[in-house]
Amino acid sequence: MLKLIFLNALRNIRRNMLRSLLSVFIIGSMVLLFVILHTVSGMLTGQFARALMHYDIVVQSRYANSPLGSHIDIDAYRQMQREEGLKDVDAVSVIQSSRNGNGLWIIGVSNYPVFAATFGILLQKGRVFKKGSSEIMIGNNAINILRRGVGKSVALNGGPRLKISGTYSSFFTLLNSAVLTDLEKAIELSPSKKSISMLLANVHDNRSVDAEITVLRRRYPELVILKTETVGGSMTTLRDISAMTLMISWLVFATAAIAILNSLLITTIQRTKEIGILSAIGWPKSMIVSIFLTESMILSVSAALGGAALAKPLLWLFRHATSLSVYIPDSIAPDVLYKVAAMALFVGLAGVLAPMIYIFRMNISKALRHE
Amino acid sequence: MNDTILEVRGLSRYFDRGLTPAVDHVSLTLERGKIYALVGPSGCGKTTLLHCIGNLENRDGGSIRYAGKAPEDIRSWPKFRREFLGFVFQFHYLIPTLTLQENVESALQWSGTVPVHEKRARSAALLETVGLQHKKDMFAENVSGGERQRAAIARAFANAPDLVLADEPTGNVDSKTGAMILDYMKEYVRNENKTILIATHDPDVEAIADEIIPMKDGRIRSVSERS
Repeated sequence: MLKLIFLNALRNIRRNMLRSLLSVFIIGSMVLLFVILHTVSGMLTGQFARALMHYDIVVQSRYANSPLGSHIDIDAYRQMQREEGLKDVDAVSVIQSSRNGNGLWIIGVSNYPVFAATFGILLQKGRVFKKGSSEIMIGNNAINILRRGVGKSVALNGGPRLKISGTYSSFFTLLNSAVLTDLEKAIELSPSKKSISMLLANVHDNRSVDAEITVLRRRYPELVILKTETVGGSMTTLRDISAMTLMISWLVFATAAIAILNSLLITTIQRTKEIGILSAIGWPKSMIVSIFLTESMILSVSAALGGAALAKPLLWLFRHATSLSVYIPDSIAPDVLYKVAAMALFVGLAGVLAPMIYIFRMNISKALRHE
Repeated sequence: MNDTILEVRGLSRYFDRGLTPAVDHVSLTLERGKIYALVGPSGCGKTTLLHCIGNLENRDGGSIRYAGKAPEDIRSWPKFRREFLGFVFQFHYLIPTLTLQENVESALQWSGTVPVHEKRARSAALLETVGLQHKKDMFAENVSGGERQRAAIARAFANAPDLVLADEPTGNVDSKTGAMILDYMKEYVRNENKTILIATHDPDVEAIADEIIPMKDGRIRSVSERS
């Protein structure tokens, strides 16, 4: 029974090869788009939010869309270090740079051990930069961008030559395309020479985070002071990317489902007589629908596999063939692949809806007379 | 055992919102072990009557009883069509994406009367009976019209139905194939004590029928029984 259903479905796909290929192409493209968007935005939103959860409070300047556009006066940082209610006030300076046509981030940190623990920095070669020295550590992707290794020196942003003390990797993939150095050194390399991008802090009593934030907001009206729990949703860029991804995901779902639904409805109408014959010889309509369901599933799963398989080379192509300053990861997170599998299942099921209604409402005698 | 396999009383089916009577108050009784020829000009309602009897077409009036059973008492029509009814159409109506053997198997797939391991052997044997064992793995488009109709016959008789409804089974085949099909039908009725109702224009079919049912303008005229 299952063999006949499968064979029938497979041969029907072959019989309508051009239409089937077009459906697979359309759905595959949708899946590809879905995977790339989720990979890029997932990297930005998910990893960032996860890393920041080690702190109670995040501080950035007003009207900043991201740490890159945030400029906190160094005096405010010094003053905040003296706040009674706060402990572990760490500063991070993020400077956008480029090298050999690739985006490169220069990140200065005030407290390397805590930063390393928070962002999962694993030393791969050499050693950690010395505080106050002209040393840098480079991420494992930055090695390819800078084309330099441990022990060599490199000039960044027109500044003095800095010695590469070590290489590292991080779960926070953005950092793998970055250069890590001491905060003071990063400030020297920044265009303004006096500002930092973000402050991260813990409060002494973590039950009074909200109260502490209220006090700080009064004292530092020029700064945006947020609880890290809300930072993912409050940072405009991340929020916009999340919203855009969600919207495009729905569009992708709908477009892929409509594409397969349209293709299957046409093939169902073309095969009206065949459906009538099967009904006349005693096939239950549910089993006739299962032929179309099998076809729908074969098309959607093939498209999902194709789209997902093409995503990685396309990400690689974006990384290497464009000079985009936005970091593009070269690996696809498993949760994105799970979403693609769910999407294939959903699209496959949705695709058979219209044929199912058509089949169940069909008059067998009329179907047999269908030309 | 009740010898009446089908009893139709006052069956009507109208088209064009009731303006055109395709089948008009038809009554007939079919008995086991007989071949009936439903004869009449094109458009007289033969196909519609067969479709109404097979419940492929809705009826606007009248009643049908299948071996004493009313349509309302039939819980699953697909199951009933598999086990009680067999259909032969004027054009072969094979599934183009299945081989001849798979087409025959498609009728057996749902049959609880045939064990799974026997289905393949049974479909091969049925094809052998209609002389198609050497073409069992070919698709319908690769065999002749006569061979397609023989495969369709094998499919219709696969579950040994009690009543076979055949619509012009020899209408599109050469005389040799037509004779082969009619011989098969005769043997089936004699050996299995089953019933076949054939809508036809073919004098050869009328010649093998036990009873002729003449039809005109949706109505049945007097039934003539052969001696």
